[in-house]
Amino acid sequence: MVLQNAIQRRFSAWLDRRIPRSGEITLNQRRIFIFPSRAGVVFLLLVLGLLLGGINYENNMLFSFAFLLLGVFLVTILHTYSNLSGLTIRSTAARPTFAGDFADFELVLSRSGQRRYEGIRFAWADADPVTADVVKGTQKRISIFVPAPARGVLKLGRLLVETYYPLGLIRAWTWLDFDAKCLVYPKPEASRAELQSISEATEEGSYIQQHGSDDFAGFKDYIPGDSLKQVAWRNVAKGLPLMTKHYQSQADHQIWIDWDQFEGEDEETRLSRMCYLILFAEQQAIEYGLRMPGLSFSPAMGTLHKLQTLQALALYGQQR
Amino acid sequence: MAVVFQIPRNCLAALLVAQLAVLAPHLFRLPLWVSAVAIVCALWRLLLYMGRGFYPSGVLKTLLVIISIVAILSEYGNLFSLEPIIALLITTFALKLIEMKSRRDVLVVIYLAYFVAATHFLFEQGIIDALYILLTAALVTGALVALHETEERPALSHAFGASTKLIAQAIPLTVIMFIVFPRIDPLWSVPGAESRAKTGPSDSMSPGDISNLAGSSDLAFRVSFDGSIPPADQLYWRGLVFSHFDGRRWSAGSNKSAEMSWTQYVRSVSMDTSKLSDASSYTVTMEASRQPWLYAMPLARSDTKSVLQAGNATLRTIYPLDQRFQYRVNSWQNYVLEPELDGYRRGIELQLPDGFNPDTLDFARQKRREAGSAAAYVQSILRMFNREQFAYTIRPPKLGRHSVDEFLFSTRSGFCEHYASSFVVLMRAAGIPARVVVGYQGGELNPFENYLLVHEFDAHAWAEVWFQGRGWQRVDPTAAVAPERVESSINELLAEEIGENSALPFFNFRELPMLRWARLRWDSVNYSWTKWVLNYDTELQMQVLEEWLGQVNGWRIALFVLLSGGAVMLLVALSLLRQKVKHKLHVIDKCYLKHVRAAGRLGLKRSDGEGADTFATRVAAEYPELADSAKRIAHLYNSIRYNTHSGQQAPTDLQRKLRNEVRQFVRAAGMQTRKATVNEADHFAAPAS
Repeated sequence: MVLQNAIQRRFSAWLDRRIPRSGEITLNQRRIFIFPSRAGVVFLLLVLGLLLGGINYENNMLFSFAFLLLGVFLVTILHTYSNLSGLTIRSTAARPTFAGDFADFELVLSRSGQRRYEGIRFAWADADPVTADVVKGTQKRISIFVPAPARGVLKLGRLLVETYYPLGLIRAWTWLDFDAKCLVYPKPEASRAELQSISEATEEGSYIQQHGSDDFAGFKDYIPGDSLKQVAWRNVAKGLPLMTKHYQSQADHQIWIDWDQFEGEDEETRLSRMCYLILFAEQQAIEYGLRMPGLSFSPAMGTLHKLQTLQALALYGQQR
Repeated sequence: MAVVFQIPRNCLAALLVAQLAVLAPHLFRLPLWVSAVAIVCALWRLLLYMGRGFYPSGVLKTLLVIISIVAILSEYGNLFSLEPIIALLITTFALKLIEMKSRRDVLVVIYLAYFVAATHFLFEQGIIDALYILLTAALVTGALVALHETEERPALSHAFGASTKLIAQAIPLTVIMFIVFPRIDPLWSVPGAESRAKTGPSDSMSPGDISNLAGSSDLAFRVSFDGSIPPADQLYWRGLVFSHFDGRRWSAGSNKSAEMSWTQYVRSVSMDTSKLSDASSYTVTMEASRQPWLYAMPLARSDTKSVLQAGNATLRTIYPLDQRFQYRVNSWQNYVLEPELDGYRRGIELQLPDGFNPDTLDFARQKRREAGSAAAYVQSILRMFNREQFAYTIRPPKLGRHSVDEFLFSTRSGFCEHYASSFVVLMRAAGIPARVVVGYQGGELNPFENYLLVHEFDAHAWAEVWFQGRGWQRVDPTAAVAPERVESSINELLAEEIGENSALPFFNFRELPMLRWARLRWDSVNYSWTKWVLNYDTELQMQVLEEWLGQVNGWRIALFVLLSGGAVMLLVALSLLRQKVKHKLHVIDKCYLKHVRAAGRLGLKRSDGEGADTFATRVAAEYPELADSAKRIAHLYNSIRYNTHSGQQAPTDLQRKLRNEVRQFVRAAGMQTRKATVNEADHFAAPAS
């Protein structure tokens, strides 16, 4: 095990030197590795079988056929190599996501000239691999959906880019380090108790509106974490997208979303609850402030405020 | 979230096409039911492809496999010769097609397809076959490409185009490997093709055997002489010697000679080899006869590996010829074969069955007495054949028990075997040792490569008569009846008789010169193919490599492989990687840039991204003489490029105008340049004056 780890470390150190971290990488001979695939090895065994046939039957045509297949194998090495070489891959910043959701990492593939790139497979972390080609146009965008299991910063290791095209006999691949990161907010979680605590925290204590008790102000897009009670189900039944009802008077309120509110809960649960509240308050157009150990945001509203507070939750207790 | 593998539809389509191509040449060789299974499976797969039908269940699959194996066993009786193995391979290939679901299954089918395609070469190796298998290889490879395509809906032709390219690029590598790969001896013995029909004379001769061969226009062998081709009456290709007669059939009998090497042979017949001179050397390329005998002119010696010398001065191989076989022969005309015959050998060569052909025996004894000497007796018999009413025909009447009696005294018409047989019986009855020799006579000259084509219809039977001190002498009684037979081809001789229902469509006497030219031309190509490709062996390899490399050693061969193979790979790599940024300039842009360069020579450099109008204004400011021209060019350029015809091909008249304008501008600019230099010269010259 120790040895294996040491080898692994050595390998990644070597890889770091050979294919250093970068935002945009054009594949070339320095970066592409190439080796027969398993199907290629079986193919070589087939060629060997034909050669033995040629020897034993003293049949020059069997020899020729074996050599033809061997020639195809050799030529395929070049074809497979050229199916990666010259391809430029750029990784763009991934939008933040919530824990338990997927992070959408977008790659921009671009080619120069008219070379075709076919059947290129991208595998990143635990994501389902994506196979793509660049045949028309000069650019292609692909999305790789990587599961984001936990809050914090999702850092991806190296991206595996591989191809077996055209015959599957040869595998050409590379490991690219894009320094790809994605901010992962806590998973928003609501509970009755927490709603209770909000009502205590607000001065008037009754901002959670019963339907029809205030002036109806309009609909807003549903975002994950919204209370299902506020969803305009009648609209959904009409085939409209999920929306929540929004009431005017709520905008008048201010709340504090406070770490200490959630006595007895563990750290992650608190963060999830707070995350929910931020989304909820933003949805309801309530000004909200955030108090956490060593950190505090005075009540405000709007996208910037939301992103700042969510980021604070995401990075709570983490190094960076 | 496992993705279920779906065989790409293109791959399936390509695979069906490839399978059909791979199986086609085998269908005629295989039992009917194997072909039927293959076709049913292909149709089944086609149904699945179209979204109908069902995959066979496990029980059904097992049942099908068991039925196939039992059927093959009952068809061939065993599983270990070539045909049942191939039948099994093809059945597996067909059945695998219908159960194919995963990517691995597809790979198995594709690899099997390569293998099945290759097995065709165990039966046929002609140029056409080679080209056909090359085509199937491209088709199978196309299926493999289609398996790895990911584009939404690629055209099927794209996969085949890609595979054709791969195959084409692999061919030079194939040639290099073919040339240098060492041809080693077989590692183990392999099952050969068994059920193939034998061709050529068999190991015995009854009346009608040779005339049957005369109906076949198949090639028996080709001969190319090192020197000139001997005259037709010497072209007797000895193959088999028959000394035993049972009243109807001639066979080798107890004279079945042991095979041995040349030196052993020379010792066994106590031949004086020092007297042999003027050998003619030639190479014979036998077609696969599935018989072990070889043909050569007497007295023949061959040092080719696996050629043996038989006791009665014939050549043979160890095993029947399953494929084309090439051997070198030295033949001497001035030989003396068995000048002395001991009692035992004499008994063999005088054998006659009891109770057959009594009239012939009486006739022979009487004639022998009348003739006096043995030689005179031979002459008298030949004269009889020649003078009396004997006919040479390919369709002789059937003969009964006393075949020689009936032939000599009643039917009097026959083919060469009748004459040879009755002649030998007449000799033996008179106490002169004689035997029947079967082989071929003559041959057709192919003027393109200067070699002889010997066909099945050249099969011939003649006699050898033994004389004290002179040994065995060839006597051809047919020549006495129909001397033309030896001088010219049988076809010309029998053209009338063979007539319309001829089995020799190409060989009709009245063959059109064009057809004959084409046939011989094609045969010469085939012969070269056989000589240089199919028979490329260690010897030829050494010869070729020596000629190319000067001297054959490991280093030179390695260097040759590296350089030639490397050159091919480099070219392929260049063709693949070359198409980088090759920004093609539009015709209009090229034309415009010509004008920009002309202006540049006047010191006006156009900056990147400077518009045509702006540039024209600058030109006009510096050189008023060129102002109009420059402005017109800018206007034309803009109107073609941007205003009226964006993206489309500019109208030709506007293009032509622009081209004219540019030409004028370039000329005018050139004059400006000269004027400038002249002015400068004047300027410098002025103070001196």
